[in-house]
Amino acid sequence: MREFIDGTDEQFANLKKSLQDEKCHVYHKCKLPSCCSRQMCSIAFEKDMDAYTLLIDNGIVCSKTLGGTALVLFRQWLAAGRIIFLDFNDLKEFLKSLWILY
Amino acid sequence: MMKGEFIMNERYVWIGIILFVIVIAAAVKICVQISHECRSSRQRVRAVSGRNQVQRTLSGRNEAQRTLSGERTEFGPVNYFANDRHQSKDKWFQFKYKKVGGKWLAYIQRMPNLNGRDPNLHFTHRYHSENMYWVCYDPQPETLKDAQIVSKRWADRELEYISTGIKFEDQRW
Repeated sequence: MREFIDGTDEQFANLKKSLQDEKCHVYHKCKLPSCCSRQMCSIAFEKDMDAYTLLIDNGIVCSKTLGGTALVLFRQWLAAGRIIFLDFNDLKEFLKSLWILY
Repeated sequence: MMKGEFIMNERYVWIGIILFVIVIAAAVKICVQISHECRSSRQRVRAVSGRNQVQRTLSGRNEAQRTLSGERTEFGPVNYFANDRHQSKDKWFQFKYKKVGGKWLAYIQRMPNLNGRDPNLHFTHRYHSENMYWVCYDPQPETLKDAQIVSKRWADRELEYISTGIKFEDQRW
């Protein structure tokens, strides 16, 4: 997951461009922070209905309790297996805010 | 040929056979390794068509509501960080869109605290019924895309109202 947190503007711009094909782009073997119940997971990105979706494996739990909005959204993402953003920049802002997990 | 020469020749044959087997085994191992690395690198970013396949693979959940004809009638929850002009701590909005009577309504599932601003539904441009709030906009959007646009603009103005107390009609965008 660090690769997304530390991703550059150019990398995110390339990711956004690649999502315009409206296919699901899966990244396997993403390393999760130590506060999660698993070490590795798959994360996917998809553009659908003019919104951007982040998908993640089922059954992951986070033990961290303090972290503000970022942590609340992260927990929602883990619980539902998906989180949707109207703007790609909001998805990027969310991922970058996950530095609080480390 | 002398007996000694025959034994020497046989030994060379066996050495040759052994070397041949070693070379073949090494070549096979290298091919397998290259093949494995190519497969791993392809799996690193793999475009998969179809939301359902991804949902089965990753989450198994399908919260998209549809009619029998396959038309979508619900979408969300969807998150939006409103445009903020005043370094607001909280700019997080969450909507769920539902098609009701041919119109797409943007239900407000989460919004920042009004921080003492007048919660009057007219000032905040919200409808309210049975503990549900949705965005007040006239005319109500007829497409999901339009509902998403309306909800974003509403959220920007709502955050501006929370930050400054300036009503929607008096805001300058």
